[in-house]
Amino acid sequence: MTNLKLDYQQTSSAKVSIFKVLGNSPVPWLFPLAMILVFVFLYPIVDMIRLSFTNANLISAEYDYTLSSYLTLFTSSGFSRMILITLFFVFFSVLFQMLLGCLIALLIDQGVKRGLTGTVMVRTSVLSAWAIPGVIIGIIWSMLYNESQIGVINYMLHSFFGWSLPFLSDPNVALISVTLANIWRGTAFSMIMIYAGLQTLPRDIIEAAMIDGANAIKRLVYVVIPTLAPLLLINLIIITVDTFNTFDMVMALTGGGPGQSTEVIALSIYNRIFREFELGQGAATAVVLLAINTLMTIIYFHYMEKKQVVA
Amino acid sequence: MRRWKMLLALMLGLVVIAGCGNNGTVEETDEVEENEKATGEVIEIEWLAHPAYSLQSPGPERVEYLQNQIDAFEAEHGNVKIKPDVLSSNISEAMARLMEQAAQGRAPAIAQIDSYILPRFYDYLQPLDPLFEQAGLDIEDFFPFAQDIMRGPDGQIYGIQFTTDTRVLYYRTDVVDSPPATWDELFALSEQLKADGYEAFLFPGGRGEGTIVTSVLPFFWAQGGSLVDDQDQPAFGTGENREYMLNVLTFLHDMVQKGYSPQRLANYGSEGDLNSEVASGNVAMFIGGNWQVNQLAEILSEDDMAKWAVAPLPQREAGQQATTAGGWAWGIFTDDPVKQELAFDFLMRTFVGDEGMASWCTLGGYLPTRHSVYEHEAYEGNEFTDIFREHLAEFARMRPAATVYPEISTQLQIAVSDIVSGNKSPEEALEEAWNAVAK
Amino acid sequence: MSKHHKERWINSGIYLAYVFVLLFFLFPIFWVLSLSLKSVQELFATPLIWFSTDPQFANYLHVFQNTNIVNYLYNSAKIVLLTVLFTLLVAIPAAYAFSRFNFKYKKISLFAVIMFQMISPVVIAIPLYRFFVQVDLINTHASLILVYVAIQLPFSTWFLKGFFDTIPQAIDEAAIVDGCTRLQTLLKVILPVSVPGIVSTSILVGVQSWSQFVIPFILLDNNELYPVSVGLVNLQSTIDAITTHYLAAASMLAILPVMLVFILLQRFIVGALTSGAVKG
Repeated sequence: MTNLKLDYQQTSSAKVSIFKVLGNSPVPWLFPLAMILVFVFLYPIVDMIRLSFTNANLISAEYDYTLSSYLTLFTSSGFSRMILITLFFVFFSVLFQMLLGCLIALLIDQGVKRGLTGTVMVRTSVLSAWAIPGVIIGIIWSMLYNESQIGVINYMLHSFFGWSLPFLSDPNVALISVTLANIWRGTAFSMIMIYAGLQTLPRDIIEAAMIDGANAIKRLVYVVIPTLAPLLLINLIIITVDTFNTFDMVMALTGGGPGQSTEVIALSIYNRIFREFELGQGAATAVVLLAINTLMTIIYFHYMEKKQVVA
Repeated sequence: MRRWKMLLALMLGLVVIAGCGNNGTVEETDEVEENEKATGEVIEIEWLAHPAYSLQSPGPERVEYLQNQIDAFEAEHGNVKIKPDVLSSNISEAMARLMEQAAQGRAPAIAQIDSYILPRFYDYLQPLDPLFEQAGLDIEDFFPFAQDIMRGPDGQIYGIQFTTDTRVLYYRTDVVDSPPATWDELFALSEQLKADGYEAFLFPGGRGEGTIVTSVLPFFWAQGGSLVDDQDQPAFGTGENREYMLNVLTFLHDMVQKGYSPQRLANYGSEGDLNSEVASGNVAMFIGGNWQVNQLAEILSEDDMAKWAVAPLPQREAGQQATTAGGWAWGIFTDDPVKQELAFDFLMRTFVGDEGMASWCTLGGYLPTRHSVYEHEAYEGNEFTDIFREHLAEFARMRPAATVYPEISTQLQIAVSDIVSGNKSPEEALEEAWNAVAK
Repeated sequence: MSKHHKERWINSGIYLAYVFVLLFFLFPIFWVLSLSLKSVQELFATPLIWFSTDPQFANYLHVFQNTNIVNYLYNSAKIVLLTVLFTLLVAIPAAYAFSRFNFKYKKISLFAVIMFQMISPVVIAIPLYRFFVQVDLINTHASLILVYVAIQLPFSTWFLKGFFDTIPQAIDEAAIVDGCTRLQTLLKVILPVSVPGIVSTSILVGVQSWSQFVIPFILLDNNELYPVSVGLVNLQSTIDAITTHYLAAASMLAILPVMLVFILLQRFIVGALTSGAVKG
């Protein structure tokens, strides 16, 4: 790469001020970043890992070192269910955020190209959902899902179809309801990323495809998606990790219930620590979440490296 | 490009404004504090309260009352200021946080503490006996359950419970002739009500503290059950306690399975969540808190409201009785004797003294904790107050203050909502809750 | 079918899709607006009332007067702006270094930075709380902003690096030949052409910080310092009062500023994102 040549040129120059030397080493440029990351993340993580090997409680100062937090966690019947619930929540949130985001991005893109009115309004409405804090989204959707006669969705279902749904009181439906609310919240991010990607597509590729007589669907599958692949991958990583870490919305919507049917891992950490005050147990669950996220990231990066996405 | 520049300028401008605002306010408050310290002019009493008991309350009359009391108090003591702060409305979190503050010596002068949890704060609270004596406040005037938590193991008084509440059966007099006293009677009656198209019996059955205090503990205690043992270790899953708990869970399970109670109760974690159901006019009976009388009066028409009456909770066997008492207490944390006295004075006039307790409980729809206040001219209850008072005096109990209680409560909430939503059998649910708590 | 005809059909199809998208995304907000203007009787009325016949603007007045909502919004705005500023101050040099320097372990360092993106705030919040209490930095916006910045740094650094990578190296080489230091190159050459990337980073950081909940919830216990997300949780139904309409009104007040910002700045937002920043 050209950088190397540049570096030599600079350091070998005769009048080297200290400023210049420092300026040519990456260390001062990266130092603040490293300091903040180490201070805010590394110390707490080490502390959390330490706590996960204790029976610490939030309301008493004394604790012993033990493996019981992990033993309880892994042997409890709820553990595998919690993982499954989380995977369901993450998989379908991510899938539909991507699909819907892609669809809306294409619709707006086409709308703009065809000079249709209302594209700005559609864009803004989708984006607004994204900018609402998660707890407020939870509060809003709990009002919509209300199962008594003041719940508006059930009211509509009932007047149109004559039946209603146990949105938040049936374990399976509740998980779907929570996922739907999360799709509502997160679609905007994928939509805007993909829309931005579409704008950067080289026109000649599409035009070439059109001359070849490729129809719209074929164009999408064989030209647009492969060109956008790196972008889609990055988007995928970001929203996957985000969804794994999300819980504020679920907390406000169901608190994890009924039973533990919507208690995703991040919410479980929160509930263990802040409702049951079980710091040791919460920390052990946190370590599990950390492990999952690390694994996911490594897999993604491995794949991305193959695709040469990261420099 | 010009657009970009404008935007950048705009953003920079905002940052500068925000930055300046920040610096300005910080310096200002520092200066004020220093002045105060230097001249010794102003004494600040930090007053930490639940949002509904604070100047942020949703009820305008409450805000007006509190503001008047604060103004009068500050006018009387020229150099004293009440500094209000509010707790997070999620009670268990708020209490955990207050506990951390107290442990680190950062607790405010006055803090509102959930009454049942007060014993855990004994170590950090100031004894109030001299102040009680000075004010002529007699602890014997309080309900027995309140005395229990107010007095520490050394016999001294560490807190003042100033409101309480209790759980009862609400029933519609136009469809229920006489309220059921036992579960068997309740089942029989519900069968008939169901046939008539009513939602026979509602209770909070979701994840929330309301489920435990209203739908579980009264039935569990009435049979003689105990959540924790003498060492404050969990006990609800062994021996007789297990049997009693299983009875309660099976009862709730059967109510839903037989169609007397709807599955959607699994989503209602607090008593107030039932209000919207009651408003539909299709509910025959429900169990709830005494404060819901006021809420229902707000929602229902006068005619509909007149149909409702209250009764003791139906129990497994005739003759068994128990209900849960809740409510709030004040604790004084400051070790400065001057501040202690001022804090106590403020609490007396606003919440604890005859006039104060009578006015505050009337405004909030709470029940006074002192017998004599029920007779006070400023206290206005409702037509059910005498029943509530009787309940409290005779069979009300408080949740255990054990450190393990929040965990027990959470696990039982999970168990009940699993049962109500049809996800688990009572045995399974109890087993899991017990395993999670006992470890 | 003629081409003209076909186009019209396609356009109608797109419009129809727009209607569905708008319904899906705007209906929840419409419903909150409707609830926020109802009286208590209307809240519980059967059959359900779509929109109050006598809108209770007093609900908003109540929220303004009896809650700290104005203060919450101010806190949020202040925290978000400062977070954006400090994130950029740290992320821009780091992104520049990752883009323009070649050094040992570069790949590993970049990977390490991204790894921090994976950490859930809930995992680090408790140890940080205990630490800040020890050093008496609890209950300050400064410590809060530090944590916000740390949470935003991995993504912003990486995002900006991607943007800088799209700027041809020949530009800074020319500047360096002209005698500019690295810093001057960054300030005078790279930054001016990176404005779109910086703006889109700012927007992403801003939105994420605006929504942050766990961190302020745990690191702050003074009501006067709460951002709007934490402040609103306090309004959520207390057991002894009916608060749905107030909660809805407060939610509207919390949503409106952001919607307003999006409506006003929407050209910039989309423009910034589409100008090459998301090439990866």
